[in-house]
Amino acid sequence: MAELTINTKRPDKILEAGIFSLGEVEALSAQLNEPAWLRDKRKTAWSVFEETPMPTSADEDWRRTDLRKVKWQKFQLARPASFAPAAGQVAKLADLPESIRDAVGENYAAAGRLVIANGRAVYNELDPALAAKGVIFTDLSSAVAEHPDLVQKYLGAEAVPPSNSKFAALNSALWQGGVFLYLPKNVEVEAPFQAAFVVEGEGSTIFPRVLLVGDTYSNATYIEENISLGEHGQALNTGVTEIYAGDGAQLRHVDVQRWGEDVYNFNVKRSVGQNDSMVIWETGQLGGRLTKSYYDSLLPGNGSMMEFNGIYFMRGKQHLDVDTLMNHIGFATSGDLLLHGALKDHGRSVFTGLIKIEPSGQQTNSYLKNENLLLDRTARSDSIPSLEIDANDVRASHGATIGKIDEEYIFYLMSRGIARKTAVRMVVEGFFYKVFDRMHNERVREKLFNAVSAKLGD
Amino acid sequence: MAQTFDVNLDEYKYGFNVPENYAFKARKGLDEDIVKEISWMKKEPEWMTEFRLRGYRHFLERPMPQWGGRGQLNTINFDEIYYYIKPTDSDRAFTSWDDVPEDIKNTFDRLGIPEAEQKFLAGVGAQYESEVIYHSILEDLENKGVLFLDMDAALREHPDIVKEYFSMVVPPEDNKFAALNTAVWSGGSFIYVPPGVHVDLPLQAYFRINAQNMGQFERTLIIVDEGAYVHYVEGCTAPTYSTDSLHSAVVEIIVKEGGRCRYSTIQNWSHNVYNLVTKRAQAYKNATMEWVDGNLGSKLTMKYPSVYLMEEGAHGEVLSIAFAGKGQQQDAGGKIIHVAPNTSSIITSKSISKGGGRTTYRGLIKVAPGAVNSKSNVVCDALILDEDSASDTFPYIEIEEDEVSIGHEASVSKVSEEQLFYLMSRGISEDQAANMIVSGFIEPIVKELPMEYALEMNRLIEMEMEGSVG
Repeated sequence: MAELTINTKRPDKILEAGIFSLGEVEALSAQLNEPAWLRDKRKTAWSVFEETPMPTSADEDWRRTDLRKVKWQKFQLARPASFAPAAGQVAKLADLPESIRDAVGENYAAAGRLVIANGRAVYNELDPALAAKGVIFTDLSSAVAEHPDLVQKYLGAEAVPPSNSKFAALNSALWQGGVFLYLPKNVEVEAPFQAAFVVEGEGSTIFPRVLLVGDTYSNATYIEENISLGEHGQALNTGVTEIYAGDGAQLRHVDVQRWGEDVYNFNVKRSVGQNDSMVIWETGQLGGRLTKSYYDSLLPGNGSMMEFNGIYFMRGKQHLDVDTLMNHIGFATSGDLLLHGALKDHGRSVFTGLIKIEPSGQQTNSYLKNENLLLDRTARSDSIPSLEIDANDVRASHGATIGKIDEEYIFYLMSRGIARKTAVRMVVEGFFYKVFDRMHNERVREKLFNAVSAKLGD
Repeated sequence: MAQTFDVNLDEYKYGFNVPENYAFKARKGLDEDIVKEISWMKKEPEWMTEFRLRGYRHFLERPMPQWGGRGQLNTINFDEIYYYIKPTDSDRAFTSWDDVPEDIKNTFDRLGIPEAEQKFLAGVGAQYESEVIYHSILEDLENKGVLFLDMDAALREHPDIVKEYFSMVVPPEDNKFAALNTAVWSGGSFIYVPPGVHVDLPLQAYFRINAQNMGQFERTLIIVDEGAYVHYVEGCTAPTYSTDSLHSAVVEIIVKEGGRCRYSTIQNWSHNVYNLVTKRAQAYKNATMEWVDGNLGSKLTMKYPSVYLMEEGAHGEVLSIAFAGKGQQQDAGGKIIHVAPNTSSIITSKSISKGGGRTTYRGLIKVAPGAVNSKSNVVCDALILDEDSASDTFPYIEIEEDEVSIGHEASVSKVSEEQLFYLMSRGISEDQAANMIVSGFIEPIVKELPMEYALEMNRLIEMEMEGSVG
C-alpha cells in the first residue's frame, strides 16, 4: 500500500504563483543600494513571509473575506509609471497629471508634498523653514540613505514587525517607495503634510511603507491619498504604516482611499502612543475591489489617547473588511472610535472592532461605534464590535447598528415638498455628516462628501 | 485606589454528596461498545443505536473548538469520565416520592424538590446521574393531552413522535459536544403540548450529578403545538469534588404557529463541572420563543441558546445572566437567526465577574436574505467587581437584507462610586449598598422569572456577593 503523506501546510497561493521570490528581494535591495542592515531585514522578513501560513476562513479575522478567488499570478512588481522621468523626480508639481496634483492638494497650503507612483518617488517638496527646524519629509529610501539611524530605530520595530502577519511580512520584504516623516521635539506644524500613492498599469503591485515619527510634544497632520491612474485592470496594494508618537506628541493620520474598483488592497496600520500622546485616525474608504485593512492603536503610554473617525461607501461588487484594535495598556488611556458606512448594489462590509483593556489599563475610558446603512436589498454588512476587559476600574462601551434609511425621515422631507431622490440623498449625507463633523481638514471633508455624493449616483 | 471585592465560594450550599450506590455503572471512557451497551440497556430501537453511533463517529472526527474557554476545553480528559450511570434497578421513573430510594430521596429533599412541586409546579422531573428517577404531572394536564415524561420513556411510549422530531433542530453533526450527546444521551425531558392548551404553572426538571467524574448528557425535546403555551424550568446542582465532571446537554424546541414557549434555566453546578450545552429552538408563524438563562455555577460554561425564526411574525428572546466568581468562566450569550420576514428578536445580557472570574458574552444576530422587516436589538452590560476579574463581549452581527433594523449596545463598568456614596450617605452599609446596586443591575432579567425563582436567584447572588466589599 502506498504510504500516505499528509501535507499539513496550507497551500500558499502567493508563493505558488511565483510572482515574488527571495531573488527579487535581493535584487531590489541591490538596485536601491541599501545598507547591509536593511538588506538583512528584508531577507528575514521574506523568511517570515514564507513561514507564515496564508490566512484562510479558518482564521477568525479572515472568516468573512475570501482570498481564494484572487488570481495572484496576474500580479507583478510595478514598472515605473508612464509619466515618471527616466531618472530622478519631476521638477515641479505642474508637470504631473491633474488627478495627482489634486491628490496632494495643489491649491491648498501644505507643509510638504510627496508623490509616490508605482513604488517610486516622482515629486517631493518641503517647506524650507521646517527643514531648517530639522523636520524630515522625504521618501523612505532617501531617508535610509540620509538618516539611517532614525530609520533603523523605528522601521519594523514595535508597531509592525514582520511577525505581525502574512501581508506585513510581504511588505517588509518588498517595500519600495515609502514615506518618512520625522518631527523633532516641540515642533508644531499647522499645514498638513500631503502624500499620494499612485498605481498605474495592468497587474501592477505596489508595497508602500509609511513611517511617521513624532518626537516629544510635536504636532502635525499627515494626509495620504491612494489613487489609480487611468483604467488599469486588477492591481495589488500591500501597505504598512507605522506611527510612533512620543510623549505628549499629537499626530493626525488621514487617508483617503480612492483606489480603482479593481484593486486588491491589504494594509496594516498601527500606532504606538507614549505618555499623554494623541493619535488621530481619519479615513475614507471608497475604492478597491477587495480591501482588508487593520487600524490598530497601541496605547502603552499613561494618559495616551486615540481617536478614529471613519466612513466607507461600497457599491457594485466592492468588499471592504476593516479591523480596528484599541489596545489600552497604560494607566488612564482613552479611545473614541466612530465609523459610519453605506452599502449599495452588492457592496459588502465587514467591521471587526476590538477594545482590549490589559490588567494594567486601569481608568481606561473607551468607546466604539459602528453604524451601517443598507441602500439595496443585495447589500450586506457584518459588524462585530468586541470587548476584552481585564481591568475593573474602567469604562468601555460599544454600539453597532445596521439598517436601512428610516422611512419616517423620508416622509418628513417629502411632506415638505422635497422629491424622494433628494430626500434620500439628504438623509445619507446627514448620516455621514456625523463623522465629517469630527474631521479636522476642510479639504478632506469636502473631498469625502463629494465622493459620497458621486457614489450615491442618481 | 480601586474598590476591591472578594468572594468566598466555599459557600456552595449544594456541594454535599452521598455515597455512590448504583444499579449499573459503565466503565470509564468511551468507545463503540459503551455506546452500544447504553442503547442495549435501554432496550432502544435499532435506529436509535445507529443514530448514537453516527454521533459517536462524528464526535471522534470533529476537532475540539478553539474559539472559546481560553484553552480549557483542551484539558478535558474524555477517558476519565463515566458516560453512563444507572442509579436504580427500575426501568421506569417513579411517580411517587415514596418509591424513590432513600439516599436519592434525601438528596432531592435537601434540594427542596418535593416541596416546590406541592407549592407551584404543574409537573416535576428529577434526574439523578444518567436517569430520570422521578416524574409526575398534574392530572388535569394529562387529561388535556399534555405529555411530560422523561426522554427514555418517550422513546418507549411515543416512538413515532420522537423519531419525527429527534435531532431535527440540532443534528448530530452540529458541533463536537452535540455529537457526544447524541452518542451517549440519557434522560432529559420530553414535552408535548397539544394545540390551544395553556399550561399555567411551570413544568420543572431538576438535574443532579452525584458521582465523581460523571458525565451527564440529558436530551430534551419540547414541542409546543399551535396556539399552546408552556413554561419549562430547569435547575442543576452537583457536589464539589476535586476532579471535574462534564455536563453536555442538547435541548431542542419546536414552537408551532401562534405557540409560545419559555425555557428558564438556573444553572448552579458546582465549580468543577464543565457545562457545554447546545440549546436551540425553531419558532414558526407568529410563535414566540423565550430563553431565560441564568448561569451561576460550573467551572466553564459555554452555552448560547438560539432561536431560528422560521416563519413570518415569529419572535425570539434571550435573557442571559451570568455570574463568574473565582476560577469560573461564564461564556454565554444567545443567537437569533432571522430566516423569515417580519420577525423580531431581543437579546439582553447582564454579567457580573468577581474574585478573578471571567464572563464572556458571545452572540450572533443573523438576518438571511429575504427576511425583510427583521428587527433586532441586543443590549449587553457587564459589571466587574474587582481588579482580578475580567469581561469580554463578542457580538456577531451578519446582515444580508436591507429592510432591517438592527442595534447592538454593550457597556462594561464597575460599581459606580457615586451610586455607592449616594446609598451610604443615606445610612446603608457598604455591603448592603453594593448588594442593592448588583440587584438593580440584574433586575430586568430577574423580574422575568417566576416569583419563587426570582427570589432564589436574588438569594444566590446575595450569597455570592457576601463579604464582597473589602
